[in-house]
Amino acid sequence: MRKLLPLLALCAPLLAQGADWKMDPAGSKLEFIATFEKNPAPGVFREFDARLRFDPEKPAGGSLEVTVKVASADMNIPDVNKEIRNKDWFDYSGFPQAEFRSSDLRRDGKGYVARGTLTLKGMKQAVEVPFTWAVSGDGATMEGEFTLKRGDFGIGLGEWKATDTIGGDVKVKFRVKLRKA
Amino acid sequence: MIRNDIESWSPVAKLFHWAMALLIFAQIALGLAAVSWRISPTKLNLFVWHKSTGMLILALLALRLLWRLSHRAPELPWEMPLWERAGAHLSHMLLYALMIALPVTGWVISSASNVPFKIFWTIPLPAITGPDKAVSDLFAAIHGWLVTLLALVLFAHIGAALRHHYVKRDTVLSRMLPWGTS
Repeated sequence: MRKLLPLLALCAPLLAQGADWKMDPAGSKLEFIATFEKNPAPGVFREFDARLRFDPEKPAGGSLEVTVKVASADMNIPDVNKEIRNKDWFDYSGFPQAEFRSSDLRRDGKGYVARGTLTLKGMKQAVEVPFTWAVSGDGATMEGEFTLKRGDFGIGLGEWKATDTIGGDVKVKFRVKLRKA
Repeated sequence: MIRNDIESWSPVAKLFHWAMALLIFAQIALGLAAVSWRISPTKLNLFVWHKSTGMLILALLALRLLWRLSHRAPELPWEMPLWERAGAHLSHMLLYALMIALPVTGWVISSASNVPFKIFWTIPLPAITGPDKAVSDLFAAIHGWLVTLLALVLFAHIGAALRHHYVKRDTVLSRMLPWGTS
């Protein structure tokens, strides 16, 4: 029993909360797709990190934390990249980081949903992040997409609040490659 | 003796001419407004209007050229000196060339700057070049020079038409007027 105790202690968090996963940045991508004059206008956040505690069989005990370096946004158009750093948009200097913290994870149909709080440009909003889970070798991939309203986060202030030129909905798409920590 | 020259432009030719004239003046105004407007939703919309009008001009020009090449133009007054005939032909050629070159260089700027665009917010316009800042800057400069050249040629075109009408008192202007006959 004395010999088993440390082993049990090691296993306990695993049994209760699933395994810890770390993101592999090389295989991961975080995209946001805005609309510009009724055209999709895609961008990416080049720097972000996700930490996950997850057991696909028992998602309830898990957690998901994502941090995003907002200034790593790239919309692939030099003039646009120059604009989005400003106070009316992402306000890089005021709010350099965005984050998502889950309050609970649960199964949803064939996939999962992480419910939690997204903090972006200093605003907190409850969001639901649906994702699929695929295991390959010693790693796993979570993928999903959801839609945000940029107005909820004060992105696009003043005359940019109008949604006829720059649409109100922004689709967020992610593919996160994970390795067991 | 049977005269086989026609005296006046047909209603179709007049429609092409005056529709194009209207579009070109609107287009120059839209372009100037779009580049000088401060960055705002209005500026973005002005660019959509300008690019859409440019594509409309290009499409209309294709029809106009087809029509023009398959129909005989009224002859110039017999007494017109050679240098004036040469000047008229040169300025008309330049106008046609600019009506192609301006939309096409604009299309290159739009493509190279990687800004997604739908004609009048509905028809997606495919890119004719890949994203490239240097190309977009170069063609923006060319586009600017071409519009300056267009302004000069238009000045000559309108000036010559008025001279035909008020100084030489021939029918060159009146036969193109919407209400004119010959």
